[in-house]
Order: sequence, then C-alpha cells, then structure tokens
Amino acid sequence: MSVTAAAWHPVAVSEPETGEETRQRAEEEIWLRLSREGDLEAFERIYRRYEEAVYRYAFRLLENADEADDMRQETFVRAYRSLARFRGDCRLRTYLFAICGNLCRDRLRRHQRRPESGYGIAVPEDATPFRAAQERDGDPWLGLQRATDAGRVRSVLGRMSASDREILLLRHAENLEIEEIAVILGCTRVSAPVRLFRARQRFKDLYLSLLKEEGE
Amino acid sequence: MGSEFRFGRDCERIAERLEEYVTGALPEGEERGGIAAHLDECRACREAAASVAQVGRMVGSLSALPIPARPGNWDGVKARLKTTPNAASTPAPKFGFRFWGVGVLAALCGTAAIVLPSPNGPLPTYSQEAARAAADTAPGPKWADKVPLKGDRQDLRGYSTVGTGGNTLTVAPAIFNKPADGTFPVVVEVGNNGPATRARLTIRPFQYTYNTLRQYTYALPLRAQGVSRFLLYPSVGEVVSGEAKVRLRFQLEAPGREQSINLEEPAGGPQTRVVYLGKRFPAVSLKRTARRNGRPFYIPSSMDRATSIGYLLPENAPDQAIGYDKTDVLVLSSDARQLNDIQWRAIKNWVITGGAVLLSDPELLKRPIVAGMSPVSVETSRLGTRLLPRPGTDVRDRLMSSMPNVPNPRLVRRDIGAGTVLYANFALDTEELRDWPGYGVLWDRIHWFRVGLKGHAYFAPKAGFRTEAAYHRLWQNGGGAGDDPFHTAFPRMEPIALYFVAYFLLAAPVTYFVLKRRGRLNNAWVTGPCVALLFSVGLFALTVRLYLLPTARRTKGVVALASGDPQGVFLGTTEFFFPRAGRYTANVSGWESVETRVGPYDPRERPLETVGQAETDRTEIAMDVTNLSFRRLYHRQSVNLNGPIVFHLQPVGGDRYRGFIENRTGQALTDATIVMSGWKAVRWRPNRTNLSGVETDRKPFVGLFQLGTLPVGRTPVDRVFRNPDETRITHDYRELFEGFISDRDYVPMPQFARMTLVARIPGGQFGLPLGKDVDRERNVTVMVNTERVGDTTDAVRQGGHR
Repeated sequence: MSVTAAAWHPVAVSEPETGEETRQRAEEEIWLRLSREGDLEAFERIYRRYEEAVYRYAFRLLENADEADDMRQETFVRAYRSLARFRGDCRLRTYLFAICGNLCRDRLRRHQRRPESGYGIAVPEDATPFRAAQERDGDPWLGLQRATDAGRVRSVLGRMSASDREILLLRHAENLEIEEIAVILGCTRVSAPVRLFRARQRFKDLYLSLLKEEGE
Repeated sequence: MGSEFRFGRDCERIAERLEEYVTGALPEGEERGGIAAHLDECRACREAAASVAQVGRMVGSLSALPIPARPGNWDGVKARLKTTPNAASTPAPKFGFRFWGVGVLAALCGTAAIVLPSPNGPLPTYSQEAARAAADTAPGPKWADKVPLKGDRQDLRGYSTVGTGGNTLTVAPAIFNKPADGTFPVVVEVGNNGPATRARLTIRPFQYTYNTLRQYTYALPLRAQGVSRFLLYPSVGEVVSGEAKVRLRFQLEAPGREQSINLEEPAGGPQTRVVYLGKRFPAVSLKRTARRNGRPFYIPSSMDRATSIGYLLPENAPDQAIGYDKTDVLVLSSDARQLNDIQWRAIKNWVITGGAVLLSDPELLKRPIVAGMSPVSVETSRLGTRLLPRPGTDVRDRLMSSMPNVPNPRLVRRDIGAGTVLYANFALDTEELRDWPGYGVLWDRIHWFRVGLKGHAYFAPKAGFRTEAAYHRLWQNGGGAGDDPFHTAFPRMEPIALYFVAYFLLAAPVTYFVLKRRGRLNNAWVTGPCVALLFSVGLFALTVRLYLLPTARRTKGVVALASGDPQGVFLGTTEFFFPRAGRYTANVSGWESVETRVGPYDPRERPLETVGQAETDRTEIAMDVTNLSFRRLYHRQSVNLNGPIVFHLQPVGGDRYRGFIENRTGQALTDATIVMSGWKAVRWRPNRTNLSGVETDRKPFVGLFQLGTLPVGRTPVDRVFRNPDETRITHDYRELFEGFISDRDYVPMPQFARMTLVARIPGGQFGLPLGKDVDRERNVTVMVNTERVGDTTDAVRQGGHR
C-alpha cells in the first residue's frame, strides 16, 4: 500500500506568540524583578499564574494529588530562592517546570517507585477497532487512530520510564516546544526530538502489547 | 533528493527532524523534500510519522481528564518564604555552608593533628624495640671478656663440595680466632674445569632461624682449568651484637655453565661463634645514646657509620683488590715503600672500583706504578684547584701562611675510575689550619665521597625530599647555602598549604560537579567532609615523612700525619641531623678531645660557633633541639699508624725463621709468647722449580714459644719451627696447583697457619687506642693479630687440600 508524502504533512501544532503572551511576559518581567528584591506580593502573582500548571504537571508525573501538592509548594519555594540565577533566557513556566520536574524525579528516585498509574480505571473491553484495522490494513498501528482511550494511555504511561513519560507529557499534554522541553530536561536542542521519538516508539510498543494482553 | 536520505541509515537522522517535519516547524526546502521522499520509501519512518500525531492525540487527551483538585496554598508558601533568605539578599549558596564549613573544619583538624605537636615535642615514636635498640648502642660489656683468646678450631671448619658441572668449591677459615669485629675471613677455592670465566659467589650469613643478616656477592674471576683462590671478608659485625651463632651459606654461580653449587652447613655442623663488641680491632669510634624527655629514644641509624682505622703492615697488604673491600680510605705512609708491584696493582684496582688513597710520601711517587695513579705531576700542579673549585676558598694562601716550613705545600686530588687518590706533601694537622673556617669544608670535600650512604633522604627546603646522592651532586656542582637542608625551621608549611590549595581548587569543585550531576547536591554536607578528611589523610602522609625522617648521625674523619711520620692524628667530625625537637644526649667516648660546634652547613655563611669543648675521652654532650637543625662535633685522637707492635718474621731456609718483634707501646710487656697455631707439618722449598710439598695428617700443629719480657724496641727472634711428627709426604703440590701460572698465584693458605703474639700489659695499658678498651683492673691478656695473608715468602704453608 502506497501512501503519498503529502498525506504526512500535518499542520503546525505550536502557535506563534500572540499579543496576549507578549503582555504576559512583560508582566512577568516586572514581577520577577520585584520578587528578586524581596517583594512577596509580586511573587504571589507569579504563584497565582502558574500554581495550577505546576500542580497539574506534578500530578501527571506522580499520579498522586498530595505529593503533587507538596511538589507545587516546594517548587515555588525553590524558585524563589534561586530567582537570582534565573536570567530570563527561557519562559518562566519552563523554569518552573524544570524545577518541578527535578523535584518529582528526585521524589520518584527516592521512593524507587513508579507513579500510581490509573490502574483503577477500567480498560474498555472493546478492542474491535484495533482488530478491524489489523484485518483491513495489515498494520495494527494505523487502525489505532480511533482507539484513543484515556485509561489505556494512563496505564501505558504508568509502565513507561519516568523520563519517557515526562517528555511525552511535556510535549503533548502541556504542549511545550522542543526548546522548552530541552531546557526542562536539561538536554540539548538536538537530542530532545530524538528522545521524544524513542519515547513515542516505546509508547506505541507498550500500547500494542497492552492491546494484545486485552485480546488474550 | 531521495538519494539524500537512504533507507536504514537515514532513519536515525529522520528521527531528529521528524518532529519538526510533522509539526510543520521545518521550513520548506531541500531537507523537507528529502524527508518526504524518504517517507515515501520507508515504511518504518512513515509509521513513526503517523505516530507523532497519533500519540500526541492520545497523550493530549489526558489534559482533558479531570484531576483531583488541590487549591494552591499561597499562605503556606509565603510562610516558608519569609523564613527563607531572599534570592537577591544572599546569593544562592552553590555548595552549602555546611559543605565548606565542615570540610574546612575537618581539614583543619587533620592538619592540627599533624602540626600542633611539633613545638612541644615530636610524635611519640618510642617503643620497646626502640628502647632495646638504644640499649644496644650503649657501651656494652668489656670486649676483653668476650674475645676468645685461644684458638677454638672446632667452631669453624673447612668444607668443600663438588657442583653438578664438576666445579668445586672449597671454603676454609682464614684464621681460627674470630676477630672481634664479626668478620669471617675465609679462603675460598674454586676449581674450574672449563675455560676462564667469571663466577658469582654469594655468601649469606644467617642467624638461627635462617634470617639472612646480610648478603655478600663477589664476582670472582676463574682461571681456566685450575683452582683459583680468594680471600674474602664477609662480616656480620654490623648486624649482630653480643654473642650469636652464625652460619654461612655459600652459593656459587658460574654463568654459561648452567650450574650452581650450593654449599650450606648441615644442621649440627660447624657453627661460628661470633663475638661482636661493637668495636673493630683496633678502632676509633664514637658511641652515643640519645635520650629524649628522659627516655631512650631510638635513632634510626641508617646513616650511622663509624670510621675505623685499621693497621696494615706492608707485608700483610692483600695482593688482590678484593682484600680491601672493607676499607674506606687507605693512608699510605713511608712504610708503603715496602709494597711490591702486585700489592700496588691491587691497590690501584681497588681505587678504580671506588677506593680512596691518601699519599703523603713523595718517595712513593718515584715508583712507576704509583706515579701512574698519582694526582700529580708534582711540579706543575696547582694547589687545590681540583680539590676546592668553589670560589672563596683560599686554601693555598692559607696553607702557605700556616706552614712556613713547607716551601711548596700541595694537596691535590685525582679521580681514577670510581675512586680517588689524594696527595699531600705536608702535615695536615696544624693548629693554624684547624682554626680556619674552611677546614671542615676541606675534609668534607675529601671525604664526602666515602661516607655518604645512598638512598637516605634529606629534606631540602627548596627541593623537597631528595636523596643524599642528589644532594651531594648539588653540593658538588656548587650548590650554595640556600640548598642547605639543615637550617630550616620546622614545621614546614609549604606542603601543607599546597594541599589546602589543591583541595579547594581541585577536590571541592570536582565533588560539587559530581554531586550535582548525580542530583545528590543535598548530600554535600556528608560528602564534603569525607573528601576533606581524605585530603587530610594525604596531608598527614606527606608531613609524616618529616617525622619519620631519622635522626641521623655520621662520623667521618681523616688521618693526618706528616710525611714519613708514623705518629699522626685522627681528626673526626660527627654530624647530627635532628629533624625533631627534643633533648638529646650524646655519650662520646674514645676521643682525646671533643669540641661541639653549631651552625649552618656552609661555614662561609656563618662561622661555626663553638658551644662546648672537652679534653676527655668520655663526655656527655646534651643537645637541646628546638628546630630541625644540624650539629657538628669535632674530635681528635692520636694514632700510630705503624701499630703498637710490629711482628716481623722471615723464613731463612728450612724450618728456620728469623726476624724481630718491635714494641712501640712505650712500655715493656711481660709473658710474651708466640703461639704457633694451625701449622701443618709441611716441608717445602722456597724455589718453586724445586717444589716438593709434603702433607701429613690433617691435624694442625700448635706450639708455644715463650719470649718472656718484651722490652721497648726490637727483640730479635730466631726460631726453628719443625714438623712435630715427621709424617710422610702424601701429595705432590705440582699436581695440585697445576693451573697456577705465576709464583704469586701460588699463595700459601694461611688459614691453618698463624703466628700470634700474646703478651701481658702491666697495668692493662697497651698503646693507643687499644688501651682504651682494656679493663685495667683485671690485667687481661691482649692478643695482637698478625696473621699473614698472601705472602709467598712467609713460612705459612698449605693446609689440607680437600
């Protein structure tokens, strides 16, 4: 079966920076400067703006609401302490995510465990789309387009390594740019897409094996 | 374009750009076209591209899921922030205070443990063994109590063996009465049935439980198809004190012959009883014990070396260089005129291998072989030019002014091979010369090359640790006072500071980065002190070398005498090197006068300051040492180079000997007796062409010949020593010594034949320095050892050839 190259030209996901974002960044610049001078009110604004995103990100990584809450608090405390070192060469959100990611990784490593994945969420019994696609195309992966299921996804993410899970979440759940991901993960601009590529492959493999288990 | 991204190899590159390609971030152009073409061909990459959107959609669906709500707690954050220093007010500590604080504290503690004890006293190195060792260096029992005065032949017997290749090794004692200094003069015969070669003989004296005391290795030239004979002087005197039973193990290796002869005394076999008195016979030595804080303090004696003076009568001079292997410096007076060419050749060979000769008789230079090794051309040489090349040493002027009686004083030196020959045509012992500040340097220059023990480390302030050999080279090459290792205060802070700098520049950043990389920066407060402690250990290991540096003592000296005058003086210096503070007491004995001087090593920098003087043979010198420092004692001792008694006998044909005994002790001796020990009943003819050896049984003959009173001066001796039992001839020596090629090689074996003069000393006084050690109360008998070695004209005859 031949597929033309034109079929693989999707549209860009990232959007150009809007005027609203520019305004936000200008605000953050001021808040940062005031925070560095010890103005807690300014820092509170930063907190208000990003506490939910940080909490969400921590929850995705840890799959535990209480721990994610702790990480949120710790992230902002650390960020406040190290504001002097933040030179503004990345977005503030990226900086906060980097701190939060480090803390979560530390937490996971210290407890030597994987996040509590959504095992409690039942995986749907219906695996027909996969099988139908398999029969039609001879390629099970193509048939999976319709088989997106949050429970399976969480289950698969729970089986993945922390770094793979993190990069996938950053890219697709938080919709961060490759450059930002590279900053958060502390890797280079070149190696980030490769890591993402491999994480995606593993996700695919794990997903297929999960489907097979369900089929059996 | 399609060729730009080939299947398989390009998939990895595609993976890098796939994300941008799919999201549209990759601009239109050649690369984008190449990827599109590759995707057309490669199914795997196509699937990967599909999965970008696919997985993105699946994972992105998570963001739509509700998550457990936890409202942000700003108040909690705020409370913590208020107790936290603001980022701007205090810069974020990269390496927490605890890391530096505890680390520095640990390093300081480690260093303090090293440095702090030094002002009050050194590290305690006292131990039971050290106490015993120190006790051993104290004056021991009177040597006369221990010296076996009668020959105990049963102790040391000759023995022989035959190697696998047919070579033979025979070992026999050269004398019966063991000398007091622990040497074992042995005659070694090696029979060689092959061509001429060099064999290596190893002698290992060992004590009791096979503890090898010291190993001697000799390279022996073996003549072809014959027996070669060597006189060797292994010694255990330096390592055995008191009485000890020592065995000797001989091992002979002939290269290229693939054979080795092991000759070891069997258990219960002959054993040698060694009586070591810490004193050579006769000898001049300096004894000392050191005490610190009232307790004996062991001084590692790696540099201890007493200079001893041995008397060598011309007729006893060895005819092989190996005979001088226990000799450091050979002082040849006018008596050396009696030496024959073979003995001179032995001296020359010994000098080439590292010996040192001091000539003082111009007549000697008239002999060609002496002139060949002489440092002069007397007429043209310039005084001191080679001896003291450093500027500012006005030896010549000094000598000229101090010795008006000597028209043209010379002290010149010539290096031959590894050795040195010195020639002086004046008496070196003049008071004027001795007061000259460069006097010590003069003797250093003469004798340094002999007394230095290699391998011992000095601590030089600018060059770190350095072996004495290296220091010696530096000194010889004109190193100045700045290289003096002895006047530096202790402790030295440079290496300590170096370690600190290394720690802060190297260890701390490396630790920091390693910890950061591993995400364990919060453990720095544990890791930091550990690393600091590690460096402290290294620091301690470095500085502890200062503590382990042994307190060193070195005695050296020269015999100074006027040309042709047997009366001379031994001028010695003993240097003490104190690397540690403390109170030391040196017991000095055996000298007529002792003078203590303290100062820098180079007298040009500051004259040595005399701090003590004593005109006694026994004195105790206390030295309070506060710094690493250097002391020097000067001492002098009169000597008579000809010895107190000259015992001279010559065969006059048949069994008759004629000669004289000259008593130079200054007083008459009583009950003088010649002890003939170990004589075989052998008849011989002095003419080798008419050689007819006679060997009887193997029992040596002992005879006593009473001389009665031995007055001062010469006493003629004319005796007939006969074969006591007239046993029949059993061997023809021409067959036995067929391999020998000259008269001189035909050396009578002295080990079975010896003449000893035994006399009593009224009041126990017997010359100098012998009398110093005689117990005056007990009226002991003193033995004068005049065994003859290597003299064909001697009446000493072959012993049993086994």
